[in-house]
Amino acid sequence: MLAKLVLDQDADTSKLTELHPPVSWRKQKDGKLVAYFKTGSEFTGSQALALCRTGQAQPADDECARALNLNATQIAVLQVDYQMDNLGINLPDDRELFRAGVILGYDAKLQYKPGPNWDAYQAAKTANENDEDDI
Amino acid sequence: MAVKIKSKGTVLAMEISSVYTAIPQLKSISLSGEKSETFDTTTLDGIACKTKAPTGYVDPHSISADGFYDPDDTVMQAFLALILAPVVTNFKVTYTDSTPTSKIYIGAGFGADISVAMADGVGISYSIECSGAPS
Repeated sequence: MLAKLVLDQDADTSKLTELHPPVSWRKQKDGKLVAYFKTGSEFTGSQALALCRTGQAQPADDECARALNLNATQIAVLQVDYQMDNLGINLPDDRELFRAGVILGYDAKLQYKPGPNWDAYQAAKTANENDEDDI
Repeated sequence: MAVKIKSKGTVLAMEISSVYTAIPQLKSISLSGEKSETFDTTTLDGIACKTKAPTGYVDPHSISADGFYDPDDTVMQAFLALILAPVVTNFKVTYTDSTPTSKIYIGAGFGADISVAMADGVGISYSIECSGAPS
């Protein structure tokens, strides 16, 4: 049973075994090194299934897909939900904007990071405001 | 200079299969109770003000968090499973500063309260008794 991570995820190095994929390291602000699994890291067995169920991983073989027993849409919904949880996007309005591709999350100042549909959303918002002004 | 970090976007993640997995739909996170222990050193011939000295021990943190409850969510199920079959599990709090900074807490005791009220969504309050010092 095999699954691949769909996003970078921090690793708990205290419980690593030879069954885990290799970790990478990044430095955080206070200089501490943080271990993480890169996107695409492969997990096997029950770990693979658990990570697919949280939305962190994508089944990478038939056995895992069968055990997960979800269709492609259900898996995609799980993954988008998890991405939002991982980015700390908890406000219902912000989750809608993320789902619609308007935002990608928050920047360091907690302003919105524009997503692929940001410009279209802003244009629609401006047009809507102009319409209201006309009334 | 000290920077004001917003609460929005802060993530509490629990270790599942060595991967830190965000606990979804949280509304608040509280880290409390870390305190250096003291003992009373007042003696009968002492001054009016009582005196104290450190024992050298420190009471560790407790983590509490409130959020919405979904009985089908895999991460919530994994947390609730820890209550009946407790296993020392690491938790990570990631703040939303620019790089972002995170701290790891060793969870040893676990609890959850689920609340249902007419004027609110179904809620869950997590409590985690920590052991040792955060890293």
